[in-house]
Amino acid sequence: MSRGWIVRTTVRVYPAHVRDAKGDEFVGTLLDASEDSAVAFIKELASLVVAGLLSRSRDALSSPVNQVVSDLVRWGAVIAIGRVMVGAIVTEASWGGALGGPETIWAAYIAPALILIAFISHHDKAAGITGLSWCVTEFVVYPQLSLNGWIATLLLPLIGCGVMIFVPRHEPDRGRIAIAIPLLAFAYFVLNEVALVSNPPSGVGFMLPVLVAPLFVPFKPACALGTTLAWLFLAASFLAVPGDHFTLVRAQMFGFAAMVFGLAVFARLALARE
Amino acid sequence: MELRPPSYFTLAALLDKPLHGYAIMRRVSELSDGSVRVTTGTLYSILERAAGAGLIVSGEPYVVSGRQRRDYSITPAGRVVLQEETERLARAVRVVGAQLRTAGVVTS
Repeated sequence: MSRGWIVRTTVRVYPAHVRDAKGDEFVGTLLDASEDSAVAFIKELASLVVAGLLSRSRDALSSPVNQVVSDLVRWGAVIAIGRVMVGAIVTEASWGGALGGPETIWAAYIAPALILIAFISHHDKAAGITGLSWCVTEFVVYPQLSLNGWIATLLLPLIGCGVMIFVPRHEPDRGRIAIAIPLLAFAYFVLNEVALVSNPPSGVGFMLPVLVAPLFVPFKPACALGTTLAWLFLAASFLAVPGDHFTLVRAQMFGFAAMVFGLAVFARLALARE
Repeated sequence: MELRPPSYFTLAALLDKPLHGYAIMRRVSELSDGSVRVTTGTLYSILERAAGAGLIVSGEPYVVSGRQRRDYSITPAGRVVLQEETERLARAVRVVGAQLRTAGVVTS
């Protein structure tokens, strides 16, 4: 690995339009500035990463608030629905038994899968309409849900699917990262749900999405904040669990979610002041 | 417009003649007696903001020894901002210097 290759790779942290305009110049200047010193090279490289992330944040967070909110709500809905699907699959695989009637199969597997495919392939209206029908079926399949449980499970998907139908998506979803994030999220959900079968939710593993989310804010703010929003609603669902069993994890989830949103708001305000 | 030291010295580095990125970094260090050092990431953030505010303009890219460079020049608006900031700093030095002399902290 030559230094030139390392710097050219690092420059990819900048948004594409900056890279195209100035990427080669950044490489030349950095190599000039760190010619004789490995320490200087690492320092220069670190400064490039920070500046690149700030440049991406500036692009990502400079959209009007209503655009960011509508994009993060639709991501939140998709993540929440996907989590329900993965939960159903893992529960089915762990406990066995019948899959249930057609409405259960629709609500647990078919509708969420259709929503995910439609959303990833940018057919938001189709995803939204399927999502609303999923919400109705969930309500029919689980009529015993308390108001708290109903809000925690269905409120975010309902709002998100409504937004998908009526508001066009603003966030540009290009490149491999747009596919990689949902795949990573669902790989995590599978592992997490498998762990939850035998253990109550707790610890760093369970908090991973909201711990990792801030790292994705410069790249995909709507996805990062949407994931956090889904986690917030999951924490709300634990409010319905009686006893002290979920007190700690609930507090952690609310705390970390507040931290992620706080960071995003702080970053936006700081960038606006520049 | 108040300038932080790295931005102030970056604009000052361009007063004599247009410079490319690495030359600006060296000039900033010289002008500030080594007290201000800008890294590549910081430099290009400063240049981007300064160009956005119309304080500098960039030339066409060219290649020297296989490395791409581009010269940056300060604009008349950039000179005005630099002059205003210099006067602001000079006023601050006068006022605080007088206070320090009154308090007997410094004698000259």
